[in-house]
Amino acid sequence: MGISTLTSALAGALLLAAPAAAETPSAEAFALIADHVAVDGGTVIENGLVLVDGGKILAVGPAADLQGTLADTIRVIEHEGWLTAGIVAANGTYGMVSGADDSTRAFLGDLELRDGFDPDDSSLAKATGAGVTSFGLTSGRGNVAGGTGAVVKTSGGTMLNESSHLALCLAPPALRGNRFPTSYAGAVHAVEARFTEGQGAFGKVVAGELGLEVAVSARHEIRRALDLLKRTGLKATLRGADRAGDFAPELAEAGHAVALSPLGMGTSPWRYESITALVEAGVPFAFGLADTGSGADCLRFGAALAAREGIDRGALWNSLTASPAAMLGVSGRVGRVAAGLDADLVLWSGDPLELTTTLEAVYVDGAQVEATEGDAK
Amino acid sequence: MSDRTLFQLGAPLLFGALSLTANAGEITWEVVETAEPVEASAPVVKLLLSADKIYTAAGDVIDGGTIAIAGSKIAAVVPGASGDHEGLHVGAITPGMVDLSPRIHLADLSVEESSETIPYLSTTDGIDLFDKRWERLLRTGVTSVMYTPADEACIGGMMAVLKTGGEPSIEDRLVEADVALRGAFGSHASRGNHPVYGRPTDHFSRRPTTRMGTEWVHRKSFYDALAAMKNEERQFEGWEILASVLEGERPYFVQASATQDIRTAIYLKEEVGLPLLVVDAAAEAWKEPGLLVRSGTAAVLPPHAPQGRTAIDNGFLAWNTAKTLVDLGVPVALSSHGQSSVTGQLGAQAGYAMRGGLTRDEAIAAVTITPARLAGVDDRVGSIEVGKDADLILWSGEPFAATSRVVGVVLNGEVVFTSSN
Repeated sequence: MGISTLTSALAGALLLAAPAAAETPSAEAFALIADHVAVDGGTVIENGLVLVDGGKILAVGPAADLQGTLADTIRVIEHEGWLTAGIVAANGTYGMVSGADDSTRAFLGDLELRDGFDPDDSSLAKATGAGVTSFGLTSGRGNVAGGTGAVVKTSGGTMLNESSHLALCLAPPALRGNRFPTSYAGAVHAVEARFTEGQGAFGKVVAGELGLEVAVSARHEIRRALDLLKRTGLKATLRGADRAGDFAPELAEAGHAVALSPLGMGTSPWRYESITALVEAGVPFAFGLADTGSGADCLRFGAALAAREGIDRGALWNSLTASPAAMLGVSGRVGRVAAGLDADLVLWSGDPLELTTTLEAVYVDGAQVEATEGDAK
Repeated sequence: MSDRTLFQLGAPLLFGALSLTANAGEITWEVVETAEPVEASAPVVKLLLSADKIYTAAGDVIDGGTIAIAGSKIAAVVPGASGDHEGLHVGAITPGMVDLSPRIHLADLSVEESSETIPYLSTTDGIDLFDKRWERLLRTGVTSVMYTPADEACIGGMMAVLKTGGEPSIEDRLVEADVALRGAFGSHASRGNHPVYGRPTDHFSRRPTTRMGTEWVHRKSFYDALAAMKNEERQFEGWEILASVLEGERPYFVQASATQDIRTAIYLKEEVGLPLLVVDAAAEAWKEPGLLVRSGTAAVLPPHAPQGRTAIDNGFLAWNTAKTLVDLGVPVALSSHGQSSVTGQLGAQAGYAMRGGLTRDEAIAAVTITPARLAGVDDRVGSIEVGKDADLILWSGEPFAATSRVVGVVLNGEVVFTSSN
């Protein structure tokens, strides 16, 4: 991982924005020391220390600099391997126990998806076990406007944002033969009219109070969505736009982001080329779980496969953490190992972008969660 | 007023003999014997194309001529010169073809079926510009199309004219938006609908289920529009588009293949007053030529079929249909109606129409300037004239002859396709 691996001294100088010594840790505080601490895709601290207190990260830095400042009573957990932020899935429908689409009508933008979310659903524990600690709760693809999404944690029921984005779909199966709209043109017309009239959730998107997710797939669907977004002056995350690399410069210029479907063993070569184009153009991208039947571990394994294809490892790690956090508007809470952020941390046996690496422990809000990656439960 | 050089040629030493001048604002092209210095600000001719014959579709055929292209436009058409420069020389040049019925759509997803009248939709919102068929059209010499949806609605939205090549975006390919309103008669507009027994189960529980129902929807829509034009309280979504058709601001393009459907369309035109009616897929127009003449209706013919029966409502297209109509003064455009087989392509249709009696000039007009006029884009495309888009087909020999082939296609001044000899 890591574009640049900083020396301990330099990293310490950079990362101690909130000096540990200035804040007095409580009795519950503990320190994690790992051979490699990945702050984000760009920065790895060798022999790093993360001080956790009250569910938050209190300090991050080289152990050599920080350890001396800690009281002897503070519990220290030493880990041979990597420590990273919890993985953030750009989208998912875990916990939507009664379904992620209300099938009664095509436009349901004002439905709050959190109302259908069960934080105790067993699918969430499995996601945590794969190192995925947060995700964008979103609708399926069954409706043109599926509802207003949220950003949730996979453990503990924490909502990072109760109303984060309007979930739209401008593709089948939202377009189907037995109700309005049945066609692309009908859907575009209806969506554009709602943005123009500023109805409900659509109005909140126009006012900047809600984010926007647009699910598409084929290139003509991406093209159509980009034209609609241009006409309405809106920015969006294009969900499932795996062909987005063909539009990379335009996406970068317009300020859109892309939530790709996960990569897998049988992934076609064009997908890696498409991701390379996004990296080169600087388009924010991440991976989502809403449109796949694979388990949550497919996020990390897919990124590891992409790393083997030569795609920038720092960009790939950010696509699992910092980028989706930013796309979901929660980068002040999760997505990096930095002082002040939630202590959602994962301990790995090695570099998480290596296929041979296994997950060893997960912390959410500073509490260790029982988690074993990939094993039957 | 003194002469001034309008543009400088790409390679003055080679092409100096073709310097062109304009006099007092009236452009007259002449061959200048000396390669005089040219103004730096003049547009640069980047391509010279010469041919044994240039079919301009603008009233003349030039035996041995050269076309100069500057930017994306035709800068000059000069008779007499040929073969004495290093530009391309081919057997014949015609304008790029214009297909008013290309049918490259996404089937059901390209047409809104939840209502039978959707004049306010833009059919290009349902387009797939990444479809491989666009390139196939371009390679066979079709450079502009009117984008047609699947005809599953009575009144199916507004249509645009697009180029077949360029970047795959509407922005890059658009010639003109909202050129015509789409409609359909015949069986397609009612297909899938069913009557309501008890409670309606879906939006297909509605009119029309028959041809009379389809006609009823058309008449009601236009009478409602006539009422809306007089009374604000009667306005409805899309009424102003129907009004623009009633006022002759844009044509009404309707699919009608069988004789009865063509009659229905023309009776509607005469009843409510539709100044510009174009009947698409008008296979059986040869049975009612008098009606087309009387009403001033234009026809777009579907591809010729070996046994005469076309794929649209089994309409029977006689080989001499185009000839019959053209001789009566009916504007006739040929179309591929989405057929991509060698025999279904637009160029082949021109050949078949010649077999049916059209002259070569008439056949060329039926795939170039006539469809461009019917779509209202003849100021941009459809003929080889100075100032128009440089969309050209380069032929090995006489256009549409069985022994001739398309050896090159020029789109917006760029050679986008050449076949190697």
